[in-house]
Amino acid sequence: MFKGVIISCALSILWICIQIARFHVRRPEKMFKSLVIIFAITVPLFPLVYFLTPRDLFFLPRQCSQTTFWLGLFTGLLAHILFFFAYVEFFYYVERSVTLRILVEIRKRPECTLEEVRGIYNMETMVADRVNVMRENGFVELERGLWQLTSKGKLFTQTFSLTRRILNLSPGQ
Amino acid sequence: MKGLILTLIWFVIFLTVTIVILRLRRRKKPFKFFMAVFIGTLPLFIFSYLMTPTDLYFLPSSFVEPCAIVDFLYGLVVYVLLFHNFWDFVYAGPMGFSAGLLVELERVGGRGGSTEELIAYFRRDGQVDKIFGRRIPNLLHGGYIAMDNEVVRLTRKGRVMANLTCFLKRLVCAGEGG
Repeated sequence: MFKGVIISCALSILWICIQIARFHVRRPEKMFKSLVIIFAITVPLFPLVYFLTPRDLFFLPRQCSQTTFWLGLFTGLLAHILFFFAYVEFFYYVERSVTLRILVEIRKRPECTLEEVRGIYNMETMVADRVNVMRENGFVELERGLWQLTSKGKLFTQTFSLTRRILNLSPGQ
Repeated sequence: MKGLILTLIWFVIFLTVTIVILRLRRRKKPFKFFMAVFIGTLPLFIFSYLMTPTDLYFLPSSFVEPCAIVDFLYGLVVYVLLFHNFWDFVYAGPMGFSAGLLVELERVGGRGGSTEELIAYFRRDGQVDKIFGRRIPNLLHGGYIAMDNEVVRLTRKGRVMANLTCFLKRLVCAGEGG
């Protein structure tokens, strides 16, 4: 089990480094797709590395290297997938968070008023930027000047509405 | 495998308890509530791990991890990651800014909505809009910013967070965002 987790950590660090390097060279238009593609390469790589390396990875104590092959492979792969989700969530929190953006805008302008911050980072810009991002990602489309949900957008909206109902959540924002 | 199975059981219990309590009474700040339920189940997870046999009475020997501490830590890490996934799904999904726009577009129906209509959805008559109206009090309450008359300043905590955000944005090559 330990071996699988160590391999998944190593592969996660590898794909995150590749993603950072790739984004620094050229920022892709569809970031999520790019994240998935880079991660997907490591999925078949995981069983290969697992199969080709010794049970103790040359350094694990004997007690931690007695896991059966399939148990180690399964638990390692599961950890690898969960690490991927955790990183994607972290990435989008850094990339999209409105709250963090407000803090950054205040940092840029010490001793400013709230109205000045709102003048630069305002709701009109936020909404316009976000619907454009949603269009790029195929959630909405613009028809005769009006935004429409695509079938993908409808599916996500229904999922979100259902989750809100199940968890009895008030609308966000 | 025992750690993973117990994790899945406790995660289902966490979800069930969360749903039942939230359905009985809506919470203004569900995220604090999620955290409280999660932390509440952690000692129970540890207790259940200590009190059950390594094979959980039904696991074949090939599914039993020989090193108990590794099995336990694996279960704990998976539990934390599952909780984090759930938290982030709710935060970025149903409660998120984009979801607000999507739900508003669904509400207006087949004719669709203009950008102005979407902006109007977030605007409150005579008040600060929904976006700033919720976040600024949260930032003040959390000690990230301080208001001095009309001037807004980052506190020490806020400056650390803003600096960290700028560093991480540069590192992962994220855009301005928001």
